[in-house]
Amino acid sequence: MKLRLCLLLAVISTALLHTGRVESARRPRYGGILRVEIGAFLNSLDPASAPADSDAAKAKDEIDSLLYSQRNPDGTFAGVAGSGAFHISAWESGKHVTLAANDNYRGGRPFVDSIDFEMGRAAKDRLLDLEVGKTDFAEIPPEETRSAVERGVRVSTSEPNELVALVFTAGHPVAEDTHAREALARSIDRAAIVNFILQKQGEPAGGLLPQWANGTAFLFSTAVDPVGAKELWSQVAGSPGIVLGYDSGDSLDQAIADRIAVNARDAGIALTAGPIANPAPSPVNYDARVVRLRISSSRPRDALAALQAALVPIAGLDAAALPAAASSEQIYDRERAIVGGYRVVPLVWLPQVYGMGPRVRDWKAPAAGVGWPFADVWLEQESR
Amino acid sequence: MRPLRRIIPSILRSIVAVSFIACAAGASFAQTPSEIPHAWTEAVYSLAQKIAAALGSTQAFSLDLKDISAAAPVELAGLRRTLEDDMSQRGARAVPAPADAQVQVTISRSLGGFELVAEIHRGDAQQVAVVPVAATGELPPQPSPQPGIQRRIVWQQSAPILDFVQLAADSRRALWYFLEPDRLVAYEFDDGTQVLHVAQPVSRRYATRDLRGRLVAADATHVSAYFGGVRCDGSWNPSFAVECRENAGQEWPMGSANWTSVPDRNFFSTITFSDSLQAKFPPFFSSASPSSGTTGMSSSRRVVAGLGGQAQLFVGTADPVAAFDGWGSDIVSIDSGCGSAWQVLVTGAGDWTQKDQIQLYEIRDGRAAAIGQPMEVPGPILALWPGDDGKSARLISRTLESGSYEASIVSVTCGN
Repeated sequence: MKLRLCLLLAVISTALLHTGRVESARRPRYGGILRVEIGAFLNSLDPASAPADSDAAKAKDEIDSLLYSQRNPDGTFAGVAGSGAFHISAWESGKHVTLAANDNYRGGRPFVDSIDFEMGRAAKDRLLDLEVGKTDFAEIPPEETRSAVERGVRVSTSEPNELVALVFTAGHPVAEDTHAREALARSIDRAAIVNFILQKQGEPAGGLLPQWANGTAFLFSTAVDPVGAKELWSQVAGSPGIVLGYDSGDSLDQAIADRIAVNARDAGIALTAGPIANPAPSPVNYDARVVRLRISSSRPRDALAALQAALVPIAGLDAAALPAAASSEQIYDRERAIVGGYRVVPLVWLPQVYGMGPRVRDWKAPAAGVGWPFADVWLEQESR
Repeated sequence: MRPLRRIIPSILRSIVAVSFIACAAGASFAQTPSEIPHAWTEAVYSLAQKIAAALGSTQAFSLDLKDISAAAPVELAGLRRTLEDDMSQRGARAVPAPADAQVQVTISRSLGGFELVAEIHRGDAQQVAVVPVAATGELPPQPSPQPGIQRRIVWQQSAPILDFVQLAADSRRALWYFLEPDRLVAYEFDDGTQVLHVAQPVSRRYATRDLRGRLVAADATHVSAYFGGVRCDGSWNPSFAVECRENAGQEWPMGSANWTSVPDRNFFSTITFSDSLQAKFPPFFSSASPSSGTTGMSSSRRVVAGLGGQAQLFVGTADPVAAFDGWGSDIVSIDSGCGSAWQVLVTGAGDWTQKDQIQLYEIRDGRAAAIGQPMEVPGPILALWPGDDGKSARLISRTLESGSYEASIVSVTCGN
């Protein structure tokens, strides 16, 4: 009887403690708006419209991965927009896009109610907004990771999955000189790029795939050899030097290109670095350029095939398609063949770095080729 | 009991066998230097073939081994001995440097698993051979259970598990049921040997990303699954059949009470007792109350793991009398037989991207005191339900490294 009375009293209870604190809980909680800031300006999410630049292409790809339920092997999306975990609920070209949770998503409704993307936020503004709690999630340039951590921002880092490489332009006289290509490759101090420019975020790259992908990256040397470079360059007859281009809007590319110029000068190589206009001039006026290529798959065969496909038109590589079931050894051999020609000079592998506010839970940096897993993320909410 | 069909064991028998072997507390996988796992022996054999081909007529080579994977479950000494033995059978022997050829073998690792990489230097020529080590499915060594809490892994599989029950049909035969998001699976064991495996599809009305489910058995041949807004009843008549229907009241039986689930979410709203009395708490993930039979306490005491990450203690009143921070969202009472206080097992409060833990607490005088050390679980705990005997709990977890799902029985031992 006493128990019944007690339970009846409990019927009216809906009280929560009025602590006002953000508290931890293990099991995901539903609700809330995830605020995301991106650097790109998107003018359309129409599959038929081409993004303005590489940043916009990456951002569109991330948003599409939330809107579509299926992805094709070539990285494109299948089905209709809205079949994925989210659908578009508001759109303001170049400024905002809001995605609402799809209640009927076959994988289960996402935990957050919606995601609000704010476009065109510069890296320094994104970092500041993370710091003051104005946003929940933003990408951070790898070289800013240390600064972000020092400023108290939660940081999540992926496996290194973006290759920065120097690629010679097919058909340019100096790019067709094997000695010139090898001389420049040997002159580059990759460790210095990682340690100073990237603030130890990333790894020196000697091959095309990082160690986690095929397990053979350690077989490629990343040592700097200024003596060997000087000797090789001395065999280059009458070259006016090398013109190295970089993306005019990418400060990291510029810093790397400037560092390469310093290394080249130390090896006696005449090299000038300069920005490449967007769109690039035709015919191209640079002998080599710094490129950044995101690894598109966790499967080493597919990742290398995609890298090869991206590099062939720039470097004029003569590379046959990889067998569908290429072995680790075949993948290594292909990498060795590409890198051994010095038309493509791997420099560093970069991770993707994400900054998060304190209320973001269950975020896991996605594997290569996988979009931001916002459907699995949930938000810690203030106790009322 | 109704007759059950016999079917020759499937490959899953070996999985269970491995699980049984590995789940023994403090299971050791130590090996002598001369013994390396079978998959590694196979890989060494393939590598030796390639090295021998690269060496050609060279009969003496220097051999150096290193492990850059930092996690290879094999001893370098054993690997070296196996490789040297294999090479000597192929007419080549390892000698101290300098030698006509140098072979550097590296244990490397990629996303796909371990690899043996050989660099063969012969004069100016260099060749590279890469041999993947087949994944064996062998369990990595389990950390010894912390004093007080024991976890016995009874099953591993790649498909998600929502709940499981193990039931004795008679003195020899046992039936195990596993609820998965899309099917109810039954296994029959005869003297520990799996003799039957049958799976029936189940359909649910709601899909949630944190799908929860619970199995309740009336006896060894009748089991009911509650999940996703439905109730599915499985029975043998004579073969295993499952019938699902909407769970109109969304009530899940939990011992002497029913919990009302919010079917498109992952939490509960109400607890209804057998006499139709309802206790409405703030929405909760789990709840536990002491068993009066074993603790002598009134079941008006109840601890509730709310959505806000705080567990609250109610003692028959509308307002909580205490709150416990740092607890996870799954709680079960357990009658350990150690001491007289009310004891609960509590999961950790980290993210599902991290390892988890279980901690034993004693609740006395409105306070919760941790007893002993927490036991680490190598991935998030997705479900923790009380066992029917009150002395154990059923635990489902996902291993971070392999992504596989584990079903375990958790119990508490005294005197540690």
